[in-house]
Order: sequence, then C-alpha cells, then structure tokens
Amino acid sequence: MKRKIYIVDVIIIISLLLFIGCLLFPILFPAKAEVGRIADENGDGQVTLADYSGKRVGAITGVNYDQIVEDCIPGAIIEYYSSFPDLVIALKSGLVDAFIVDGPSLDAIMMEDPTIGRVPEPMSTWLMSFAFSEKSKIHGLRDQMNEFLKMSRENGVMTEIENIWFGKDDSVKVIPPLENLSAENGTVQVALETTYAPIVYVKEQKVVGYEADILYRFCEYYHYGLEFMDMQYDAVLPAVISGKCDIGASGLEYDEEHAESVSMSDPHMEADSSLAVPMSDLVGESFIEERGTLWERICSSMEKNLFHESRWKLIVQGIGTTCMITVLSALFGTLLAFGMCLLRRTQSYLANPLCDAYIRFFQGIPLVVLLMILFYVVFSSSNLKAVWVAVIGFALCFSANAAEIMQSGLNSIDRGQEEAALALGYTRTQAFFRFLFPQAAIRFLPVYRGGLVSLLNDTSVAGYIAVQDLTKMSDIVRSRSYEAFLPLILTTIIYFVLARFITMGVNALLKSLLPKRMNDAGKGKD
Amino acid sequence: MIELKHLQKKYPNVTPLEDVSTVINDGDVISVIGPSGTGKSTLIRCINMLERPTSGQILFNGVDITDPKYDLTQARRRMGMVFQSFNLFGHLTVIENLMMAPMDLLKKSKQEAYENGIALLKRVGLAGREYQYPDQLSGGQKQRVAIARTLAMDPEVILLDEPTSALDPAMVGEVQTVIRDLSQTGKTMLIVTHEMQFARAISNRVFYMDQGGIYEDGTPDQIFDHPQKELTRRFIRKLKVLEISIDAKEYDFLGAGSEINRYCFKNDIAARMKYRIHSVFEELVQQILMPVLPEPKLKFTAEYSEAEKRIMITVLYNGPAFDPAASDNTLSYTMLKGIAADLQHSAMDEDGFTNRFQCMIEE
Repeated sequence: MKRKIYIVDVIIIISLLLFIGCLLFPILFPAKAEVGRIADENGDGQVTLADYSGKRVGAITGVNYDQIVEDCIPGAIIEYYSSFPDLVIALKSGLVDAFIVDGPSLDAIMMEDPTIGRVPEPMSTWLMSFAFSEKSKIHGLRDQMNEFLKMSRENGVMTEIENIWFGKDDSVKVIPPLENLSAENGTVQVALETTYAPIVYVKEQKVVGYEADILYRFCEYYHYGLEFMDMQYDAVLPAVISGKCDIGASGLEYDEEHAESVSMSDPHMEADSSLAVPMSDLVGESFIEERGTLWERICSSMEKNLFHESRWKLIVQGIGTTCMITVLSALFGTLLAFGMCLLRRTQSYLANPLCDAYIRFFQGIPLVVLLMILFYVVFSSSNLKAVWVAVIGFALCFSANAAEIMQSGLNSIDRGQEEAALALGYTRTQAFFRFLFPQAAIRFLPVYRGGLVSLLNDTSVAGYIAVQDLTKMSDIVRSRSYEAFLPLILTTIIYFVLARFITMGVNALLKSLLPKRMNDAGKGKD
Repeated sequence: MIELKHLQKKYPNVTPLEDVSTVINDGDVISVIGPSGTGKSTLIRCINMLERPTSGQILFNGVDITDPKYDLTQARRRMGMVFQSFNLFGHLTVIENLMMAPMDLLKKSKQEAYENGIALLKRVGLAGREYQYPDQLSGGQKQRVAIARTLAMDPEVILLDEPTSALDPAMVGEVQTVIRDLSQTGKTMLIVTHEMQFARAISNRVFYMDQGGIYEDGTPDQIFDHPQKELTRRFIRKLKVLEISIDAKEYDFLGAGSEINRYCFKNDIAARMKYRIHSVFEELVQQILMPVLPEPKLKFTAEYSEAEKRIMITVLYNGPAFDPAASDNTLSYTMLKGIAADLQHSAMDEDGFTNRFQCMIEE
C-alpha cells in the first residue's frame, strides 16, 4: 500500500532541518569578539582597567575577587564561574567582557590561545596557600608545610619551582611518578581541581603544576605518600572541612574567612591579578585571527583536544568510569527496587509505608546534594573510594525510581492473573516469577529503559565528588585546550552512543519477553 | 466429597456468608443461583480458598483445608476454577497456557503436556488455535481455552464462577455447550450462573443463595417448579416486591404513598396500575382495617410479575379473625372489589399475624 505524505511529516522534516541548522550555525559562523574596536572607552589613548567600568567581568569562585574588582575597576559587574575553561569560553563567546585571573594562569592561557590578551595595568594581589584539615590522621602537617615553605624559599627551591612552571619550557614541566614516594609516614590525600594551569592541571594523564610540584617535594622531604583527589573547585573546601582529605589545593586564597573554618598554611605565592580581555580589545583592527578553512580548523581542534599529550586517553578513562558507575548503580538499584517489590508482596503492615518513605526520601533529594551528603557526611571518615560512593548514591536514587516503575508495571497486571495461577496450584512466589513479573516487565521495560538513560546522563554530576567520569574528563580537556565546541560535542556524541547501547540492550530484552506472534513472521505483507 | 461446616465469611462492611453448612457429593453438578450480592461467588471462591473463610471448616475428602498448616496447593491442583473474566495468561500462547501448569506442577513431560493440550483444545472445539495468543481470541473462545486449561490439570472438582456472564450473548451458547458436555463426565461441578434454563438443564442439584447462606437446596424440579420458600419463589418468578409495615395507629400515610410511587417508578409499572395500588392501599388499609385494629400490626406486600403484568397484594394483620367483606364500610369494600380481583381472606398464625387478605390487580 502506498503511504500518503501528511502535512505532519512535512512539519517534522522542516523542524529537523531547522534544528540541525541551529546546531551547525556556530561551526560555520563562529562567534567572534567584535574585531576592529579598541575598547578605549574614555579615549585616553590606551586600554586601561577604567575602560571596563560598567562591563561584565568574570571571576572564579573561591577567591575574594569582589574586593579586588571593586578596588581596581569601580562599577564593573562581577559574574562568577566555577572553572577556568568556562571563563575562557565565556569570554570568547561574549558572555563576559573580561575576566579576572592570577598572572601565571593568564600567561598559560595566553600561551595556548592567542585571541586572549591582558590589560597591562596591574591590579591588587592576593595570597595563595594550602588548606589543612583538622580531622587529618597525620598530625602537624600544617606546621611541617610552613617549615618546608620557609626552608624552600631560603634555599632557592621555591624560585626553581616558579621558574619551571611559570616559564616557557614545556619539557621541564614534569613531576616524577607518585609511586616513587616512600610513604613510610603515611599517605597525604590532596583535594584539588585540575583545570587550573599552571597551578594544577593534567598533562599526559598526570596531575602536574606549580602546587603539585610543591606538594610532591614536600612529601618527598617528609617521607609521605601522595594521592590527588580531583574534584570540582567548589567541593575542595568542603572536602577539607569534612576530613575527606588532608590538604586542599588549587589556588586557595589565604584570607580570614577561610582561616576561620579551615587552617591555612603560610602563603606560598603572592599572586597578582590580571584582567584578561579579548585580544581585539587591545590591538583593534590590526589583529585578525588566523582561521584557515573549516576543515583545517576541525583538524587543529582535534589535534588540540584529542591527540596533544594523548588527551584522548583521558576521554577513554572517563568513558570507562562513566560506564562502570552506570552499570553497577543500575544493577544494584534494580536489585534494590526488585527487593522492594517483593517486600510489598509480603502483605506486611510495614512494607508499604516503609517502601513509600524510602522512595519519597530518595526522590526528594537533588542528586548532587545526595552525593555530597554521602561523600562528605556519611562516608567522610571511611576510606571508601569516591567512585564507590558515587555508585552507592546513584544506586539509591535509581532504586527509588526503578521501584516505582516496577510497581506501576505490577499494579497494571489484573488480579485475576494471580488468582488463576493460585487456582491451578501454584504458590504465590511461583505465580509472581512465572506469570506476574514477566507480564509486568513487558509493560514497565520501556519506562525502565528511559530511567536507565537518565541514570547514565545523571552520572555526569559525579565530578562533584572527585570522580573522574566522562564529563569531568572533558572539563579537564577543555581546561587545557580552552575550546568549548569540540569537547562538548564529542561528549554529547559519546553520551548519545552510550544511551543507544542501553536502549538496544533493553530492547533486546524486551523483544525476548514479548509474545512472538505467528503473524509477525509475515511482516511487510499487508 | 466436600463438606462445609459453619462456614462464615466477613468483610469489614458486609457478611456475605453467615453460616453455611452442606455436603457436596462426588459427581454432584450443582448450580448456584440467587440475587446479586448474596455470596454465590464468595461461596465457591471459599471452597478453593481463594477467599479465606473467617471461620468454619472445609473438608475436602476428609482433610481440613482451612487448617493453616495444610498445603493448599495440593487441594487446588485437584480443584479447577473457571473465572468470569477468563484470566488467561496474556504473555503465553494458547497451548502454553494449557501446558505450563501440568509441566510445572504435575511434572509431566513436554510431549505429554502438549499432546494432552491439543486433545483438550479439540474437545472444546479450538483445534488449530494453539499458537495464537489470548488477545487474538473472542470472549467465547477465551473461556473455552480457560476451561481446557482447568481440565489440563485433570481436577476432581471444577468450580465455575459465572463463566458466561462476561460474554457477548451470541457467544454464551458455545461455552454452555462445552460446560454441558463437561457435566456428563461425572466430575463434581459447582457453577455460579444467572442462566436459569441452563442451570436447570445441566445440574442435579441447585443452591438458592440468599440471606447469608444456602437459603434453599434441592433438585432443579423442586427449586424451579415448586420452591418451598418465599424468597426462592420470588426470585424464580422474577417478582418485584414492595413491603410496607405498619405498627402504630398514627403511621405515615403520605410516606406510604410516596413509597408506592417510588416502587412503581423503579419497576416501570403503568400509571393505571399505580393508581390501583394506591386505591387498594387507601380503601383496604386506611378505610377498612385501621379503624378496626386497636393496636395495629400490619404488613402490606405488593408483588409485581413483569411477565404476567399483574400485581398480587397481600395484607397480613393482627387482631381477631376479620374478613374485610364483613366490614361496616361497604362503600370501601365495593370500591375494592371494583379495582381488584380474587379477593380472599384466610386465618393464619405466624410472626404475630392472625389474618391474611389477598387480592390481584391486573392490567
């Protein structure tokens, strides 16, 4: 039979084309900061901080940039971002007009990305130090660090470190493998965020950087082992306060507010603040970005994001972690949910209220909050790895959803099915496994499939608790390449493909359960 | 043999079975009839313990199956059940529906179960349907598969809970044929049904259920032709009944009038008949009887037979023997005679009533 083309089909096709067009737009016509305009607003002949009065200035959370901006650029509107790559991308796509960052970091950014420049006028400085947990099992760590910093400054080691990491020679920017440390006095766990070049960042799948180097040498000197816990910048201080780690790093500011809740070491660096702006603001028309053809741009982007320093390995590791968390939490969550369904069948007076309370509880907590509570409160003193905390958190949350999904499937089965089985002489348990659950599964699997895909997507928040999943890894790559498009699109595609696998798996299961009708064999015949 | 001893089933709001005791002999084919809500289904669902009785005992071949220690699956394997709504397993083919239980529970081989299943399908007239799914069958076909599924376990007793009530009228016949065939195999059967002709044709015994138990138990001839008890008679003849009781001189006359109106409206009784009921009530009760009864205790009953289009009115009352024909109020009695026919008075002594007066209103 010939199929008619309906108006709806036409609308769907047009909308699809529009959607694809919207997606492709930024590749074909990349957003450029307005070229040919020097941001010399007050006309004094050169770009100064005062030109950014009234403009949007981005800054990273965790450092008290409010005060600095107020002092140096009166009238600027400050907007907070939680990681450096986000700041760079916000600037490049025009979401902010400038951003404030410490000098060494801006040097690193400018080295990677020639479209970003610096306003020459100096700004206030701030002090960078380490945070120490009062719940640490190793006593006197802070005093040892202060002593070490003092000593290093006196014998020139500090200068050497600064020269390595703030210099231009990339080949010397290495840290010996952490396994080389003897660890005879215990292992120091350091919470940090690794998207902060050159302070702490990832190079060739290893955590390196100025602070990492200090920490390595410190541990070497005092015979400690060293372990880095990579987490979101926002999560570093909570990790320190809850005792999840011994030291917190990645450019923490030494200020009184911080010193109240955690103990800070003496500052190891006085960081100057700089204002990063689009290069075009500074040099005007004379600056024309080298772009090349679309294909060349894609190739160079691939090179930068994937092949340079074997960054693809980070992505692969991230995929592995994401898959592991998803599979394990789906498995445990499903078992828990199935257990709840069985519990509800026991006709115990407590079963229903108990299951309901459980489901309401875990559905009522935002996932990120649940993970944080598990990581920083419930398991704060245990040595459970963050990945396992994530598995537990996702499993609990998923089990609540899956239990509802399964129960709704079971509820949709007519009571008569169970009665028929009982009347034939089956026990209630046999009836459940033989007749009720298989029929319920046919009904709930399509919804369950959606639940699994959301679980996969939800695992992207695992980065909050020091889990290096796919999203976190793509953040790390972004932090080194200062590009948003390719890493984000690539991550999207990977998640999409993983979701496809899940869908295919559940579909295969569903197909094996569905009645195999004789007349399905003649598909295609009308 | 199934013996029910003082069986009671209580729900929070209703008690469908107050106290049921009876013996069901091997080979009995029993039709369970009665108005809705009288516990017919509850009774047969109690027999295989799908409903757990509140109290009482069920002895199946001498074994008390209500004993919590008894393994119910043993009794249920020997008591098949056919449901009103078929309850076929929707995810299994017809033949799988028939094979599953014998294989799982009786440990029959696949081959044996299959052959038995095919033979049963042939018996219920559904040969060739074995690989279809229940939702591809008509209601009548589904019910026949359900009967075959029950037979696949070769039960001693078959309980049928309104097997044709959910069916399209056109399909009732095919299922009844199968059940009729089954009733001649010597298996013990209990069948809850609303089809009186069918019940009469297949059974050797009828339970009329009412008032919380088996109200009358007898052969089909007795129950259908000569019911011994009042409620059975009313049910069999499909009588619509109105009862007005009066136990005080100052009773609610207007209230009684509106009760008659309601009754006539509900049963679709013609306006002329309604007027006559009103007149009989007024002349007989209000004008003739009430003045002569110093402490009245009176029951006015109207029974409307839809088939015969007539209403029998019975008035029971107390006091010394008094025939309204001998009343001083000759005007009212003459009017009464004009409205109704077959006026009869007789003496009686039951429940404190001593007189019985009866008359008939025809269209």
